[in-house]
Amino acid sequence: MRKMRRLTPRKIFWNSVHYTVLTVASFLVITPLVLSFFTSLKTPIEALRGSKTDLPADWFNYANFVTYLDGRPVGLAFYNTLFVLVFSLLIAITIGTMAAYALDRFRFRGRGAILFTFILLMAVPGITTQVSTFQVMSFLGLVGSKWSLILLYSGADVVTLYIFMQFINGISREIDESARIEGAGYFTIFFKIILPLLTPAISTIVILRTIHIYNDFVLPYLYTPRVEQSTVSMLLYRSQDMMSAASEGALMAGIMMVIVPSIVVFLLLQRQIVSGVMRGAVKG
Amino acid sequence: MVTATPETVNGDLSRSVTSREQAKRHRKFVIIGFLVIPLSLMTLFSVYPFLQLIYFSMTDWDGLSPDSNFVGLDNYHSLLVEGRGLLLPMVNSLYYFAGSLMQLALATYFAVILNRGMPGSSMYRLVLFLPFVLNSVAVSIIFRDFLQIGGGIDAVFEVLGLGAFKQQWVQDPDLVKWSLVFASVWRYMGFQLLITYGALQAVPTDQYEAARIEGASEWQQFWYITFPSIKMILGLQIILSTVGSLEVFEVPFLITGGANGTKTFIMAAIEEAFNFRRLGMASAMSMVLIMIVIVVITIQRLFMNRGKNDA
Repeated sequence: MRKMRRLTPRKIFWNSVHYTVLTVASFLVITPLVLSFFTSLKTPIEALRGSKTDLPADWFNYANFVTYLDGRPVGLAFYNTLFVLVFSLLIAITIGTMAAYALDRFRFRGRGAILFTFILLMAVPGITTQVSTFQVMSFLGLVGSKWSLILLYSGADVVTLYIFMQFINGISREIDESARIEGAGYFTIFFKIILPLLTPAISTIVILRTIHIYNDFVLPYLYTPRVEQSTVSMLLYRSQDMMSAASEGALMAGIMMVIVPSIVVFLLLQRQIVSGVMRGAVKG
Repeated sequence: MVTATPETVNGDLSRSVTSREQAKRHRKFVIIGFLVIPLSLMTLFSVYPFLQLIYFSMTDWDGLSPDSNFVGLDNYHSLLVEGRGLLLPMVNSLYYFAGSLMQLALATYFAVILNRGMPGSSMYRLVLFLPFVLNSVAVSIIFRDFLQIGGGIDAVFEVLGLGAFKQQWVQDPDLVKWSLVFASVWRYMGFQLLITYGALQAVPTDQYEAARIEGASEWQQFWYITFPSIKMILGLQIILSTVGSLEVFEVPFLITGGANGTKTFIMAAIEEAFNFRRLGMASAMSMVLIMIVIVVITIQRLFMNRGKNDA
């Protein structure tokens, strides 16, 4: 922390302006979340009669949570989300690091064409091609299967690959060369040297992709609309019929069940997440 | 002294040739082995759909029936020349574009002041970034609830004694677009803040020390040290904002469902494809959007490169 320098009246004025703006912005960020939390603890009558800003009468009224858990397939949605998340990350990291290694360390015919295609693909917004990606998935018979999500989250993501390439590019080639002189093969170099050095890259990808996959709506909406494969996003999307004063509390309870885990993990791993996102953004 | 006989020389040579060939083969094996799966997936789920999109855009396929007719540029003609109103939602992008410029200005301002390490900075940074890690459907429902008549925002106004400012945030057709822009800024500002903050962290602090000793004001420090070092990333973010505001989907889809004139171009395209079963037209719409994006990115590339040469 830098030392406080002499505080001129001018500086005090500007500092208080900055703090005021920051506080107002933070207030704007937190208010919608806090009010929803209040609603999740209110009985239907409380919600109907009172104002949104009224505090809940009973801070331990978990009836809404019970209602939501009873009425909606919450466990299934979490299981599906976790399933998709784990397999997507495993596949994305395995094939992403391998492809990035091959593309960065070797010069071969077709390399330029591949890199050019990647740049082109990055320019094409993913959502615009869903119209025809959907036809491919439906041809493969994967529409309605969690694997359609896994394949799209891991196999069709150029940005992940690009971030891995940037990181590998930052690892000195001399390390590879000295290992080769000592007789190490390409596989040994990749698994024993490159992969361990990629740990920061992998954690960046895990953070960025987890945030994306857990929160994404578009792909589950298009590919896994049925209840049996629904992810947490679709669970909530399907709960929108509860937007009435009578069931609003239960709906907000469901929302809390989905976002509180994110908030807890975020607070626990804040340093890793913040620096991971910054690294990914700077490289990507 | 050992003189090599012709035999040994030949022997060595042929051995090294075979080992070099082996190494070459091994290298090829590694390259192919490492690339075959990722590239097949990429081809299947990105490249091929893209090429297929171009073809679909020139047919009248409905996405279901086995037969479709090649109609050439008819879809483009009715989209761009006849103007069947399908382009109209494009106008909404302007709101999001304006919103994203405001967002960029805010994010830069916050990044700059938080980078000074004032007490409590990391707290503020954490709070402002928080919305980015939250589920999009959850956030949208929270906002629907927050913006409805008698919802959270009106209640807060009441408490603050600003009851007179209560609005029909989602029902008023002029206001609803800005309400959605607010929801979008709420969600993504923190992410942009972190990107800019990351760039600022790379500026060595002794530059600021030196400037301070010379008596430079905060504003001069920003203009002569901070701004040049984040110019590139700001330029990039303006492009991303432009592209991003063309492809807005989730926020309006989930909060208003496109009612009250809030439909965006992507929503219209998805609707054409999946609800109205006009896959050919939907593909043409997607292609138009992709063209615009590519033009924007190309212009930006030219600008950035010229900037580099000038420097």
